[in-house]
Amino acid sequence: MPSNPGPLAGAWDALALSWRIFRRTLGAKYRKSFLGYFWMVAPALLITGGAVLASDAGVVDPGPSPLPRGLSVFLATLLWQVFAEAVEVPHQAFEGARSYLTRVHFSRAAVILTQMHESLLTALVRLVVALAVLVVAGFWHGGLVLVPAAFAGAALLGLGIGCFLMPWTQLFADLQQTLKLALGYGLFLTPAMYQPQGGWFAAIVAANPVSPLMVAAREAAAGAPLSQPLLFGGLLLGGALAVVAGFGLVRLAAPILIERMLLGGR
Amino acid sequence: MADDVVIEARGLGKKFARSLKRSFVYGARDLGRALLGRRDDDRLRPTEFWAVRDVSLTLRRGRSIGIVGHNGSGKTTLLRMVCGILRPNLGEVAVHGRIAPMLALGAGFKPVLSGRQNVFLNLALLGVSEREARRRLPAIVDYAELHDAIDAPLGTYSSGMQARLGFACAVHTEPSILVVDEVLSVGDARFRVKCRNTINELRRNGCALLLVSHSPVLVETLSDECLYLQGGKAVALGPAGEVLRRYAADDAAQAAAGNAAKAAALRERAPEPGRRVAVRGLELRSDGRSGANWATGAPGELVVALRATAATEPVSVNVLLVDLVHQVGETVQLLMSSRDHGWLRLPAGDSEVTLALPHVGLRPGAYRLKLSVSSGALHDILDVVDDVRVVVTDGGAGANAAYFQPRAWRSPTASVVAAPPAADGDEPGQADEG
Repeated sequence: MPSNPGPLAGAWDALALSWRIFRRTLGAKYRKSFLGYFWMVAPALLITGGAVLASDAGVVDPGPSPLPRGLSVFLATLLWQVFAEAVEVPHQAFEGARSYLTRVHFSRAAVILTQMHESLLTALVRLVVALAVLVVAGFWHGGLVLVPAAFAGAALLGLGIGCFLMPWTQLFADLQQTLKLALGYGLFLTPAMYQPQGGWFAAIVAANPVSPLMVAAREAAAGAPLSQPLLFGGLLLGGALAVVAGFGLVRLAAPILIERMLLGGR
Repeated sequence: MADDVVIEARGLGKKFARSLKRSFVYGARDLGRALLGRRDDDRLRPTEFWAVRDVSLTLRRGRSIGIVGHNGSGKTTLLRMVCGILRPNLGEVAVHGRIAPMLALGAGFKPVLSGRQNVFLNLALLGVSEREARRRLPAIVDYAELHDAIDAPLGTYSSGMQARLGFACAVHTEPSILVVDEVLSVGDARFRVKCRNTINELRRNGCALLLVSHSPVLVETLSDECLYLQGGKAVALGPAGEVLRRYAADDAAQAAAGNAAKAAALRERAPEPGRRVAVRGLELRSDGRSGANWATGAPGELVVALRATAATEPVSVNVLLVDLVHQVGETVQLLMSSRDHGWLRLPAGDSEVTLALPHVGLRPGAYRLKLSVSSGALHDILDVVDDVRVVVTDGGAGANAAYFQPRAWRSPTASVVAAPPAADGDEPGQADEG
């Protein structure tokens, strides 16, 4: 068995390898697509359009927001997409690398990091679009620097949660289906399109870890002071710690998962 | 540990569950145990079995070990543990040097990327630095003979071209250990020769070799030592020739016992309504001996017992032989009584049909025999018996040849002596098995 480097050297090797793989495979995903990057923001545009129409018709109450209604929904939806994609990164990474995980020994963390680079590129495109829209809409101020921090928080939190879930979603297909469902409809449990006041639904929305990031991103984009700066900072730190701990779990779980891949199962 | 040891495996054990669903539940439990810092134990849970149990081996620089055993004996599991793909449940394995795992030819290849991009991708996974990969690229393209196609998407390559590129990448990683799992049967004949010569070249430069093959001839030619696995356990480890003789004897005995059981099952099977002709038994004979395996060059027979419910329309008895060792899965013979002998009109009741081979032309190895009885111009199948295992032993006349050539030498003016005047070297021109 190839020698196992220490945790730090191992992390560095994994990062370097993942970067090489990412560079070589960059563009492969969209090679068969004419519209490429458009698909990264299309869902957010559609949801924003729908939410604005629903709000105009009085079906949903968007609630108070420091940003114009459409912009507020657009920003929050992009943030949710970044989070949801990051949650799926570890599972998708292992699924995509199945053919070589079962044939050659190399850093398994690199597989996830490679997929993460791809996901981060998508997040970056979304962030640039969000910032461009904000600037065009007249929001040009120092507070904008916190918008990328909110996006980074969503990515870290998503990746950390994804790493913790991946071993179980790899082992049990039902869990993966549940997760997909939760991520697909989870946007409705955030303050992206409405802000429920009171009741258990409001409690669920408030408990969603992405909600404080959405609130902070909107406030930062509008140039308003953050209403929950400690919670925002805590989520960023918590996300980073979750990633580190999650990678530890992946390292432990990888041989068990690869063994099951060889058995011809999921 | 001596400095020249490149692989040291001690007491390796690996267990799997036969039930797929249970294996996932066990996976979750194992992960829970790992999180609590608890080690694997040697107890088997329901449906689990040992795929490999208590296997040890030491491979030294420049030496080679061949691994033989029937399907399911644990050969590939053992290789995967050595390569670090599977974690052993018991025992330890230490590897000193870079492994070129030939079970990973073309690992990570993506069809939408060009051959060039795929080389970099593959080398990255095999642990070659970016700078080294750039330096080695021209040699890899030369070796794979893909100068014109290297910038085309890999998806446009034939399977042979992909195999060439995968092999070229693997051997250009400057490995100190080659782990080969039947790879020499990849690609066309010219490429197989090239693979074989490259492996020899690497070995001359001190590379160690761990080889799994169904071909005893290949293992004997390439290995210093041989490990014989049976049901996951090491039955023998020692000089290749010695171990292979034991393996061949076991293989032949096992095949003979399996065929006897199959014949008994045929005799006892209940008549099926509507079946006009049924195979009631079959037996292999060699040189007149019943129940024996065939030997290359010696006379062989296949005796088929048939039962017809009534006098039949003309039928043909057909024998198909599929290679299980050299060109795995390839049909090597299709013998039909209708073509060689004529259509057979069977009387009601029992009949016996014998296929007699004055010389068994098959080279030593194992074959799958499929027997069918057919009728009509389109050969409608009346009955079929599959998976009869035919082991062809070396009768002393068939080694190092693709088939047995009946022959006679005439030398009216020369005298013939029993032994050569001086023993100074090997037989000339050993045929390439790969």
